[in-house]
Amino acid sequence: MDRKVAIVGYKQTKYLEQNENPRERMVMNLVQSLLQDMKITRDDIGTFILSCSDFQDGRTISECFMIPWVGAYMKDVSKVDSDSANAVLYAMMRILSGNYETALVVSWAMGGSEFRSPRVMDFELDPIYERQAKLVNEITAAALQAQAYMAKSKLTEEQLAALAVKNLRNGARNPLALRKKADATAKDILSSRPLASPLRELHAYTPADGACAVLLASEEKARELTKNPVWIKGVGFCQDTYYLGERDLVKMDSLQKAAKTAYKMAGITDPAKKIGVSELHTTFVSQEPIFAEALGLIPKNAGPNAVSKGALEIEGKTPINPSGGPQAANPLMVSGLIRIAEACTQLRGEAGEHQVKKTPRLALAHGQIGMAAQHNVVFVLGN
Amino acid sequence: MAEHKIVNSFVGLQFIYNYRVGEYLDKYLDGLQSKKILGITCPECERVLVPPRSMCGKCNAKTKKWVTLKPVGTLKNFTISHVEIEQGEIKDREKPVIIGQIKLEGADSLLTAKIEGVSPKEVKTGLKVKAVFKDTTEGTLQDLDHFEPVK
Amino acid sequence: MRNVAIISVGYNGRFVAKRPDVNIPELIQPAVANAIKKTKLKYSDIGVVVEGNMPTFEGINYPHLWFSDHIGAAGKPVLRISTGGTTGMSVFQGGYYCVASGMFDVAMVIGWEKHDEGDAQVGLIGIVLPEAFSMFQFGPDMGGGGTGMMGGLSSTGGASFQALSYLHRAKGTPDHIDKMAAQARSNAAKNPYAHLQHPNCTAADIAKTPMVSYPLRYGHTCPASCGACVMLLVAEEKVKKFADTDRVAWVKAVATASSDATTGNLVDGQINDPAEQAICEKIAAPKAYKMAGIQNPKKEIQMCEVYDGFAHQELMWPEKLHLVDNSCKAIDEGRLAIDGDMPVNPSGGVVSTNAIGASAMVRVAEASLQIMGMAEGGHQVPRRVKNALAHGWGGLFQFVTITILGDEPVKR
Repeated sequence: MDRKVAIVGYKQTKYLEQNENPRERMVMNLVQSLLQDMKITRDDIGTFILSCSDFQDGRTISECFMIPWVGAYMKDVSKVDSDSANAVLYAMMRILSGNYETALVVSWAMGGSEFRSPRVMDFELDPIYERQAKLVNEITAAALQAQAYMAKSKLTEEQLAALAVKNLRNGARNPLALRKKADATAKDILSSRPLASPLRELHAYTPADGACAVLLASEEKARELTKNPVWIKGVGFCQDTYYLGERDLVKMDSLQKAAKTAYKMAGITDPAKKIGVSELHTTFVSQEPIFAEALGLIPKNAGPNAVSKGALEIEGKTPINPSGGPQAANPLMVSGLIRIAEACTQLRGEAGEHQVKKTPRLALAHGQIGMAAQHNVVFVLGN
Repeated sequence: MAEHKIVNSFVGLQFIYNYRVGEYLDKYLDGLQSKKILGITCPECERVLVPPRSMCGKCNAKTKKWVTLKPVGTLKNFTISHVEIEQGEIKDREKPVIIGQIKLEGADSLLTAKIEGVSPKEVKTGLKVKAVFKDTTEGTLQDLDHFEPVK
Repeated sequence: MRNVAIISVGYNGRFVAKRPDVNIPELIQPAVANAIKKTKLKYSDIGVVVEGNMPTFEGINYPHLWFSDHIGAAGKPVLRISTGGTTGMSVFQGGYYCVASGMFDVAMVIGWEKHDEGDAQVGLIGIVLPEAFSMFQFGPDMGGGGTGMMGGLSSTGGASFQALSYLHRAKGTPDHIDKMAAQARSNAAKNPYAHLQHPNCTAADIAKTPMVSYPLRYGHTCPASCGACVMLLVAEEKVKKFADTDRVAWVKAVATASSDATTGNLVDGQINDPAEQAICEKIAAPKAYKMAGIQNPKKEIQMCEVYDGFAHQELMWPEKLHLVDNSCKAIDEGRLAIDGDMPVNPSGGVVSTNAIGASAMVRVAEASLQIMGMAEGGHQVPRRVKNALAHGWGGLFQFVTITILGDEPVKR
């Protein structure tokens, strides 16, 4: 690969229970404001990569109704049907090929107002076994994963609650977040509705309406478009086997492999030292220490220690989800793109109240789909 | 901000999908009907997989050789589920259900199943459990009703 | 830019209406095995898997998660792409970019559909109904497929507008569509993998079938098939190592363009009918020819595989692709036949075999087999195919994808 790809611009909507606009207008406003910020028009975009789901939008080939609203009328478009971090990956590969100089990635979901996220997640189950057995769903899968981790690392329920508190407080510092509570306490978490042990409602992601757009460019074009491009230093993605009973839910092979590839590409040997901030697509907070270990951001079984020392807080040594993460707002498949946009915000020092203390040189963004994160994407970004 | 009207439209469409279970699950369901748990072996890594399927993804080999597993095993992991998801709505269960991952004797994968006969407060990993079938079996996954502690 | 070659094509077997004997992963798996068998590749050599289908047709979100183990994807990077009718070719082009980007040396692409488990017409109505909602919000669109389909006419209803408009523009008659359909069914009989095979089918046979929506008859429409198509794409440097044949098909160009769902757009001051297809004629096709270094497509391209969900499209698309001036005239002169000077769909086309998520990929697969000289059962074009074109359309007549293959790589 002799080319480099940068993220030159990004824009998020506010995440709401119900956006004041229908999907089309929400997306159009978002893309228009990004193009205005960048002082370009839609004719400057080489290729559009959309990330949306027919199950989320409730119609077949949903993107066909969105072409004009993303500005792609009479343009080059494709759609990734997976977490939107995969769409950034595809956009990057298209630029790397030399066929395009710029790519716009757009993802949206009306997860707060139009569809029930757990229903969409249920459609991910295979129809012949898990859907019939009616035991595994997004909650029980994450709960089994959390239980396995707690048994292994001795993470306590109080520590798990502390993680949720952290995210609610972080959310309060992020103007775009939906669920936020500056004065959240462990008691709030531990008294919220129990879902499946050890998980409770306030450990879970918050369904939301929202959209995100990210503009990518080749090296040459990036320098034309912005003074502070964020470079894609490394990327890796990997999918695990399907059945929960055949996976090591704590070790997370697929995430480890994805991270290994991304670190190798970025030339990183010591991620714990080098990565200044991480934005992870965690459907439940319990996944934070699990992912952090699999990503090598903290040592094995160090989750409990990291939590008690506050290492994962905004001011901590290994900040995770300073935006509040999916616990603050999660429009399902948009989540990966949000993580990337948030990582860029941190690298550029533009995160305002939720900016990590020392502006990082390298940031990690993560996307996932599937029960207990079967499929993972890892981005290492830098400036 | 003006709040706009919502238009509701009832769409009287029923999506009916007829999923074929395939040869392997078909045989597994037959096994359940005769109150047996069947696993299948990968000829290369020799893992015994339950539920069975045609391919081992580790070796990319066609699975062969059926084995009838003893209906006993060890509880390796569990969660106490307080809710169920119905058409995307998270509804409270009447009483909590223990959902466990069980390592059957002779199997290499963990089987997800309900655990009964032990209270949520007392359930522990390492518990020896045995399969309990429905009295009248119908060749569905529900034939294997739950697991309970070996007395 | 790295050159990319197709070294192998695998089908699961013949495409058929019903496969009660297998589940979805079991349907796809043999196609994977067949593709790999024809190469020197091992599963472990595959760097990335790109997969796609129409998710609502089988009612499974992210189905690739489920059949991870069946397609050699466990522990591997997997990308899922889905774009309606063009899905198969969008997946193929995704695989192409995985290799062309330098990220991977070997990509496996998979397109599939198992129509007997779901209800494709119900699925398709799912794209028509929101159009009605969209009308409430934004006002009615300016004619074309969307409105027609919304009127309860289903996809055939939308296509009938296109067919009429096409016939008007080409000065053709419905008899030409009969002829085209008859050729497709006869060609399909020479393709052991095709679904609707009708040896020596005549225009008179087609004309006897019932009218669905004028001018389209039952005999002009496609079946709903079950099947999978798999292809292996390899970077130029690795072709010798992995290909088990001297004749591989090189990807010379890929292009895609999209219009909007209502087949017109007032924002940009353009209103177009579904038979206009400026996205193909004016955007995607010129772009593809430029990338492939082709100046005179009529001379330099020896055959094409177009996405003809309805038989009139097999006439329309070669015109939009600048391969034929007037298809109605060309079919009268026999020029579109397997032994003609611009063979169109020697495989029998989509009108004879339609497993939607696979269909656009099958176009590329068939074009590559023609270049490799490996089309089985008598549908191999007799003269040497140096360049071949594959095409797909999707959405509400609004997506177009084009791939041009050649028997040697482009010097870049």
